[in-house]
Amino acid sequence: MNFLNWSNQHQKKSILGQQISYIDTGESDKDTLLIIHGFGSSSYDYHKVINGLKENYRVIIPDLVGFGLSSKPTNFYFSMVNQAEILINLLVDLKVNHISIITQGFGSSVMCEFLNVIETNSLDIHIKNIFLSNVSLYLEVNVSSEKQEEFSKLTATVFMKLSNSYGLFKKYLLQHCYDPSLISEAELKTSWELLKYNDGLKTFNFASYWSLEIQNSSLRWLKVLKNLKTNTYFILGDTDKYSDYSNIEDTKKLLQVKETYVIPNCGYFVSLERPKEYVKIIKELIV
Amino acid sequence: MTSTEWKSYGKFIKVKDNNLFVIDTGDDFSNKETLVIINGFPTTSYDYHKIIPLLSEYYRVIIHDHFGFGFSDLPDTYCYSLIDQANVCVELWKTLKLKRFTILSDGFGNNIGKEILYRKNSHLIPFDIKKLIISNSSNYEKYLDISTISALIKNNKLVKYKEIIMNYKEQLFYEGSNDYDKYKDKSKIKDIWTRFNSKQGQKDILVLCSYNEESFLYCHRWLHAVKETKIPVKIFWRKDNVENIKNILLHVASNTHENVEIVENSKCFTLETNAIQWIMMVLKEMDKNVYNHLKTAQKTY
Repeated sequence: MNFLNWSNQHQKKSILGQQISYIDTGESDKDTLLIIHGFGSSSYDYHKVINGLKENYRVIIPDLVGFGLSSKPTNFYFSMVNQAEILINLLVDLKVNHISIITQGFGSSVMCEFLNVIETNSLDIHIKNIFLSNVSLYLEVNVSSEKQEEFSKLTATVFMKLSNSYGLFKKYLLQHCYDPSLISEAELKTSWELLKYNDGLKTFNFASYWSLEIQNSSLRWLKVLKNLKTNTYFILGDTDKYSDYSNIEDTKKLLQVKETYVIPNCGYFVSLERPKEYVKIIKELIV
Repeated sequence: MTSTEWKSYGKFIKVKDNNLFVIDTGDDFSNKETLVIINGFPTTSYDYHKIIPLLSEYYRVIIHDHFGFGFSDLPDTYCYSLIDQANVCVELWKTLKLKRFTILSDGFGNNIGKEILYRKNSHLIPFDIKKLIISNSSNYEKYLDISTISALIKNNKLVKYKEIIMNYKEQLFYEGSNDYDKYKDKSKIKDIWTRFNSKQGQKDILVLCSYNEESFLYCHRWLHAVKETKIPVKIFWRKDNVENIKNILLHVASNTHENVEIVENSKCFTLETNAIQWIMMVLKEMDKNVYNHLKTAQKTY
């Protein structure tokens, strides 16, 4: 799928002064799935699972501010508190108040603040299930400051490198796959174009703010997570290089983790590498 | 008025399972306008005791001690974040069923006021905010001294302390689980935390750490709050306050709106030394009617 075809599938809305581009498969009689993507990616990470998921769900995937086809502020950090407010306003605009959430990495932190805003303001938004992928909530849940620091440095370096050139971006992405042949050159090109679109590489200048904000907010978020009664599922690849950073044992003490699915022969980007298995797991959980 | 008398004048309200000390001079049926005061640090509600009786003749005045200050609890899982304090404000005002009010924020509380304003702009809170007054009443020398502030910012040890304390607090979420005992140095860190909080000067360090960090993260958010609102905002500034001058310059540079007005506190009134003059100056900008009424009343005394 090329850049143009992909952007034609998107809808746009102006929310709180930002242009938000999102996928919405409609059909409001179905259960709604909200997908919050990670840092340095966009809704495009899920392009292979949309068709499968939309048979049973109404799928909404916004591009977070700074990524994909949404607005990209270049001279300041668009905080996770701001991201969460955008998501809430999008859902209110679309008149959606019962959702399940799929998320990964940076997106899982945005989700924490999103849950906090719902709780503080007693908003009429209800969460049915949460699906977490590789490396979610690592900084929040980890209590060792050395490990937190190590992780912050690692992510800052990785993002700095991959935003350098298409070559490095491709190398990084394929490194994290079990079978690189499952990701086509065209796909990689589209991902890169989406990153670059609208001066988007500048978003990476703020990669280090992300871990600082998590560390600053983690007490608030842990409290929200602990009070959360929602069922949570992990979907992981078995050969993920970062599997050490999927702190499932500690996450289980906080969240009601119902089940952990490990997809065999699969790396970090589960929805790109094993879309069929991914869709199957989520579909089976429909109650 | 002694602080014990002050305590009996207020009440405790549960917010997030902890007691919050609140002064509320009205009730749901009072027909006076509501004025909410968000105080700064290291002041507490008690520092306003000279002006609240005066204000309460015209307003239903509401002021609370932030968690960790005055008579309010210090929750276990909390480390002086301004975003958290804004959450507390929202929950308190909802419990009190407030609908329309003016906010008078002061010192460090100004950022809480701006955070609330941002949420209003983002359609997240149901309150109708009439006006926001951003003021600066306190004159604690320590906060005026740029070298103290920069020493605090540059001191890596302090940041480390804060990190350790944050981590200790995060561990509390695992209390009761088998792994909880695995975490080392619990009693030692608890000791540091207690010491930090029992000495006023040391507690300020944690507050300032959070303040600096969040000012860095949310600086743009808070400037935008004032820039994008349609609610009238008045900002007071004094030439003898460094922190305040920096903020005012940012506002001057980013605002051209008619609803934002910048007013100089030209005689540098503060709450400690000129409480009445200070509030008269604020009222003159905030509410002309009340100001004129008080002015004539004072003349007749």
